[in-house]
Amino acid sequence: MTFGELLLTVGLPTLVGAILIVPAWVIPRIRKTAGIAGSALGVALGLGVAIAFMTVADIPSLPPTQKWHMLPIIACGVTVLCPVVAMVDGSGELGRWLIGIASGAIIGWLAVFPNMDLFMRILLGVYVAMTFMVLSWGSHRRRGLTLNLAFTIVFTGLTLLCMKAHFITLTLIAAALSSISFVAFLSALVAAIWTRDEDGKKRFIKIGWGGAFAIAALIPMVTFCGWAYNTGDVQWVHWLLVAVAPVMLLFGELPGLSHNNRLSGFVVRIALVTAPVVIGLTLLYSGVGLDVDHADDEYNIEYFEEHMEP
Amino acid sequence: MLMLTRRFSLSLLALSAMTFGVAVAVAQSPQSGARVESFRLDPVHCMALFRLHHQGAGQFWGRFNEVTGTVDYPRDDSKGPVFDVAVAVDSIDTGTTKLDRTLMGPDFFNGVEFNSITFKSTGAERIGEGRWKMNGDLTILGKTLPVTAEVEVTGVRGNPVVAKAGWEAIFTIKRSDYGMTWGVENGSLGDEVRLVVGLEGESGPPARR
Repeated sequence: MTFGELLLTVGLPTLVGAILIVPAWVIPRIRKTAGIAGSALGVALGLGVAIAFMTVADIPSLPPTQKWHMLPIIACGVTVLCPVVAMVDGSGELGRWLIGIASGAIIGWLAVFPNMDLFMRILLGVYVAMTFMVLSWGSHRRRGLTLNLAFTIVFTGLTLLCMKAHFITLTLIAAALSSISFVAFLSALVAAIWTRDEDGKKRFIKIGWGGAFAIAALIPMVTFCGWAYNTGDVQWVHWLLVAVAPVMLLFGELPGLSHNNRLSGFVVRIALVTAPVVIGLTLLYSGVGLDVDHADDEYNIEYFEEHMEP
Repeated sequence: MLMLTRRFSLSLLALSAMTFGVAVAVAQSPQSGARVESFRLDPVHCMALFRLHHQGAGQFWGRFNEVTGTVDYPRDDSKGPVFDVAVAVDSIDTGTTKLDRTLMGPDFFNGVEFNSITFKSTGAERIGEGRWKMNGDLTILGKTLPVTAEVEVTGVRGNPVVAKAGWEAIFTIKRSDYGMTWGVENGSLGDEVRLVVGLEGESGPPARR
């Protein structure tokens, strides 16, 4: 893959994401409109998946010819639903639970990758619902700065796992998602430091339920898709460690930490998310628990025993 | 008189039927060579090679080591061979494990979802002695498309009970037709794939292993 191709597959979704996120979060007149700031991240991420996929693998057909082609189709659905979820942001606990359960059920039903039996589909659904519950709650407690940096770290971790799993397109999709999350982090940073609302007050951007909904759908889907199609050395424990990282934000809300809004609190929360990602990647890249060479030898011995005759 | 004529006619009919039956049996006997035999493919001596253009520069070769199936074929080459062949995707071998894993991944052969590539003959046209133009259905990534292959019978050897026969098929496909589009648009990997399939089969009772 050349630099130009990389620029197209990762750069184009990032550019589109920037066009959507920057005005929605940085320009005071736009961001005060109901639902716009809350849906910008979600729409950008959903579109990012679809664009990254199409630059590599063409427009997916309906029904898809390969199971993983459901990924951009579901991402398009997420893009469409994001503004709706953003509009009902803050409608109460019942609404939050309903969105969580419905998104888990729909994604668990639609995202059927190979080797996914009923148990795995339920697990995916529960994981989506749980991630949404954590992030939608966190979206009202934490600034976009913390959350977007956390997402950038998680998607970067997923990019490296997908690369090791020999899944090129998913690597590029995860890289695009990481890049969009980083743009969102920068936009939230700019909005928090340099911009003021019309009444002169500082505005700390929140990702809103829309952003939480997209993240809760995309991180589990990318994880399960990568796990299902892995032809490399990535084990389930590596996927688990990286994918569980956003949920670690819960620990940042424990008594003693929840009221720490200073830089130290921010660093602790980011460290909580980074820790499982780093552990997972270290385990994978150092080869701990993997017997790669022996596995290859075994394959060769079996092959020769089966097929080579004197 | 009428009774005699009827008996004579029935006898003649019975004799004709017997003669036809014997003729068919003789025609299909191994000695005549015209009987279509079913050759089981020997995975040890079969392989499928593929070649494609890499980065617009060199021609890159890879192979599949596990080829199984049957070929129905008369030893005297009076009819075209009928292939029913399956290639195991996970037997891909480029000489580099990392590349094998990438090619087995969803960007290329998607071995997790589609574990075999199949070819089934639909017709054959003789183009020379021991040479056939073979039509068939090739299934890759779950998509079946008609292809035409040039097949050469590379040899037949054996006795009336057991025989070995070999074939070599060469054909070219466009991988994008099957939905394998990675690298086609930007030219990093060629679209046209040349396939060379070497087959050896054995007829008769299965050998004890």
